[in-house]
Amino acid sequence: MADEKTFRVGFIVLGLFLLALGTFLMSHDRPQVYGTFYAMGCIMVIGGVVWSMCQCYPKITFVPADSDFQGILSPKALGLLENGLAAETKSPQPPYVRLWEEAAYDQSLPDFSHIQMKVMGYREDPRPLLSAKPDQPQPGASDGGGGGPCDARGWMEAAVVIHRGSDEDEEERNLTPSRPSLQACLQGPAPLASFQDDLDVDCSEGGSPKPSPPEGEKPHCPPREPWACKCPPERFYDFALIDAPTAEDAPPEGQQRDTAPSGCWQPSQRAKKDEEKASDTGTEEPEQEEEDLYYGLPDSPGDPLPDKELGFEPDAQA
Amino acid sequence: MEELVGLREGSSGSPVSLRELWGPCPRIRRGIRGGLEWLKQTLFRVGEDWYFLMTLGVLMALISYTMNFAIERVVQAHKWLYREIGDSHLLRYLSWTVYPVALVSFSSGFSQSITPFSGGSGIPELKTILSGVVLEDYLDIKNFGAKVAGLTCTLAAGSTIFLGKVGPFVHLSVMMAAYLGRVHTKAIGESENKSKQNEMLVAAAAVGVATVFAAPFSGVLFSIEVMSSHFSVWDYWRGFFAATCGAFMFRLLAVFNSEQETITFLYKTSFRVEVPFDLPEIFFFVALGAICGVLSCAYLFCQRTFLGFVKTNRVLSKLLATSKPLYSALVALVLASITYPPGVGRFLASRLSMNEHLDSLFDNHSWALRTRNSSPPWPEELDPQNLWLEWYHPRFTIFGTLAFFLVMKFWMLILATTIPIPAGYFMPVFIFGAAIGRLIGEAIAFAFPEGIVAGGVTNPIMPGGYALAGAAAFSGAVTHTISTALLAFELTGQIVHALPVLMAVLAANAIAQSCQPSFYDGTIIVKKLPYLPWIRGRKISSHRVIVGHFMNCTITTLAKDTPLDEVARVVTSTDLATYFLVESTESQILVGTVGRVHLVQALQAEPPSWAPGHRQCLQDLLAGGCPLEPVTLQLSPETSLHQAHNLFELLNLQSLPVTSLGRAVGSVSWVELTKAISNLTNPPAPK
Repeated sequence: MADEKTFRVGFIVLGLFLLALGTFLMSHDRPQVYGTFYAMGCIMVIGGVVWSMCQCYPKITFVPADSDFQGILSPKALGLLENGLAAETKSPQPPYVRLWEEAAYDQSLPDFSHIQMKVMGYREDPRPLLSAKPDQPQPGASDGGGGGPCDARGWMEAAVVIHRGSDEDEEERNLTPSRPSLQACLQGPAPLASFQDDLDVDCSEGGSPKPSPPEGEKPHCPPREPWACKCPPERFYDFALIDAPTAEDAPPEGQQRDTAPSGCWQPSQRAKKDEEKASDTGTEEPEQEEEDLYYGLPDSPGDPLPDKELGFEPDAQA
Repeated sequence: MEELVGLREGSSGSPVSLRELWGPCPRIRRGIRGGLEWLKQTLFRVGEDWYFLMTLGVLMALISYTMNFAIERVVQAHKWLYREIGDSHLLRYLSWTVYPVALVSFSSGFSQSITPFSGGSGIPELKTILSGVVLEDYLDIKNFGAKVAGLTCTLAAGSTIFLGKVGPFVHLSVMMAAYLGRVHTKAIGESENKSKQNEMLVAAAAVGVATVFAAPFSGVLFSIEVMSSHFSVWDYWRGFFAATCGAFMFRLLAVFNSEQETITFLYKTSFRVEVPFDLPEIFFFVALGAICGVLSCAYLFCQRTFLGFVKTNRVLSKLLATSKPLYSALVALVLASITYPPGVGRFLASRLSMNEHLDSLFDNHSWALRTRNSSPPWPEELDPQNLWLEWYHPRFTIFGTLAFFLVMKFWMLILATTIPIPAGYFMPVFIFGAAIGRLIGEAIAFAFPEGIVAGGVTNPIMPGGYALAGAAAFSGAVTHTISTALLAFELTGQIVHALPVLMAVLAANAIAQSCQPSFYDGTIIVKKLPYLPWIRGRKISSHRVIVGHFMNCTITTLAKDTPLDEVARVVTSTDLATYFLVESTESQILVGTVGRVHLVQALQAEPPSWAPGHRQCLQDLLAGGCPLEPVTLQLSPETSLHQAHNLFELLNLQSLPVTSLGRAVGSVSWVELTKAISNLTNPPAPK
């Protein structure tokens, strides 16, 4: 963050300033004066240097696949927008909004059965969504979404599929940031093999097989456990079909695999919590929200509404 | 950049960002973070503002003291050079003039190269910022170093250039407060709060003035008077607390440096305390105030005219545009040539520094009476015990010297204010007023050698008191403030002249405020800053003006049922920052405002419409998550100008919608208000 860097630099500069001032104020009959200044200056300089050095870690940069998915927008509006406003969309959102959106998307993902249905439904779609084209357009992805490796892009397609099956008030930009976590969690069988215990436990619970569409801001409980636990392994394979071309690219992306387990802990954690309250819906939602708090970030009123875009209605497009 | 979250295997708790997982020594970092959290809990249990205000005060005092220290060393070096260079006139002239020319041109070039905002005083822009306007990048921390370096160089040039410290120092402290506000927000972890930030800025303005003069009372009052149109009493303690910390630290550093024994005033005087003045002298004090008022009107008028002339004249503006350091160097050369001590500077007391000017003018003896019979020689070197000898010339006497000083410094100061360097304009005006007061006081002492009340004990007239009154009156009239009276007392520690000085200040203000805008308002006018002026007087039939007369009727409204193509067309063809949202195209009932950025984002992220035959309209965009701000304040076309003006000033607003029976009919921003007010005071010629 640019602010933090100025804070670190300012801290060091202030320490140097105090050292210089202590040098000027040196008077031999009162050593405690310049001694204090020297001590404070040294502490600040050393603290600032250590703080700066701790910031050196490998930075993950995700190449955003931006300016894509133009077919979804109406061409006229898009033309106008492209001509007039392309530069205005690069407003950087603060990271906590990203995390929140990501979490909201994770929790509102539907059952795989629906996705499968939608996949079937859109085979006729002229746009070759299901081919492993690495450069599928993605709406609103200009603000730095993830998906460097092909895996992410492959999962992007899956995200598109979901998206097309939903109502008109989805928000695609909410999908974008969650792409990496999506793909991390839906990675192939191998990383998720560690979850088999949880999955078996959870899947045996049953719950409602048909996820009610998450309306409003609080997603319902059943869809939240959904894809992480409810999906029996064969569903994964169905999905893996979509991913087949990209699954072979999995080995080079060792990094992503590493993220997968860490990223996937979240749904299992949540799944466990949802387990406890699996029978309750509605009124229990707020409490669950507070428990999870979207990773410690409370809802703020100005944020866009989270989950209405993923209001899956199974009969929306028959 | 997005952040992934993750959880370390085997650990429970809230997920942390991957960045933190992969950093070095995660356990130590966690330990440190836990320790910091605990520290935060204990420290900030009382309330977090105290620490940041104290930090602000202490930091600004440190910076002020360091600047004074550096300037003193540089000035000493220059004096040594001037002394050691020998008797050759050319060499002495060169050493006298090259020094300020080099410093001023370096100051100008350095600060202008980093940011163009660094020139000038900074108080007019701060006044605009505190009234709610956002001047981008004016409070950026990277301007801090530029301004400190520039200001140090300007002050090191000393009384040759005759500029002060207050304005840029206030700007520095407000910059530091904005920076500390960001640290504050990050440390506490809450989101940015505009009003809280504003409170810190107001306190910072007080700190700036207080640490320059080590005067907390007048610092707070002066900053309130100069920079706010409305001041909330909640912020009072903030300003005082920070200003006291700053002033205390400033004087403490002087003690640490063995310059003083204990905490004292900046300019020590030794006025008579038992009977400082006689009762009839009050009349003379008030007359002095009136004279200062008239002179301040002349000064303000000339200064504003000259500033406008420099901006519009072809040659000068081209010179300023292409090469600011060259212009600064030329002006410094002119000023230094005039103040060359063996030449004209002999009659200007140009060997005195700014502080020594004040010390000599507050002298408690009457020079006219001392030099009436004797004629002391001009010392070769500056005599610190008898600074007043600089003002004495055998032929012209002190009256001639003082009068010449006043005449020359009047236009020299105006010329110096046009140099694009960071400089404050309060101190030179203070000294100018002290010279006026001294001249009048000496004249009265000369006219009444035995004092005014004859018979019994005679109390001779003390021109030092008149100098104090003149300084306070003139500077108060130029800046349209009354707290300069208090500043005069805090600087010298003498409050015995409280009442006459206050009366003089009031008289001067009465004259100046009815004739001319203040120094800072004049700069706002010349620079065309977006500051809302106040409505002068009630006699201009301003009560009959209503909002309907001057509102902006051409507003762009977007109805909820507008199709998206139309919305996109409107958004691309207009350039507004917010659009009024109305219920429907027929009813035009105002519902709220939509920001342009959000609208563009929503339009670009627009999903396809799937319901056949249903054209997408703005309502769908809004339902899809484009944030809509509801309208909380509205004006009616029958609201009076005064009410609208009060609303804007009190709440620091920038614009308001005007609705009639719920229908959006117009909007009022400060542009329309300013035009309405200026049309009132200067009615346009009827066509």
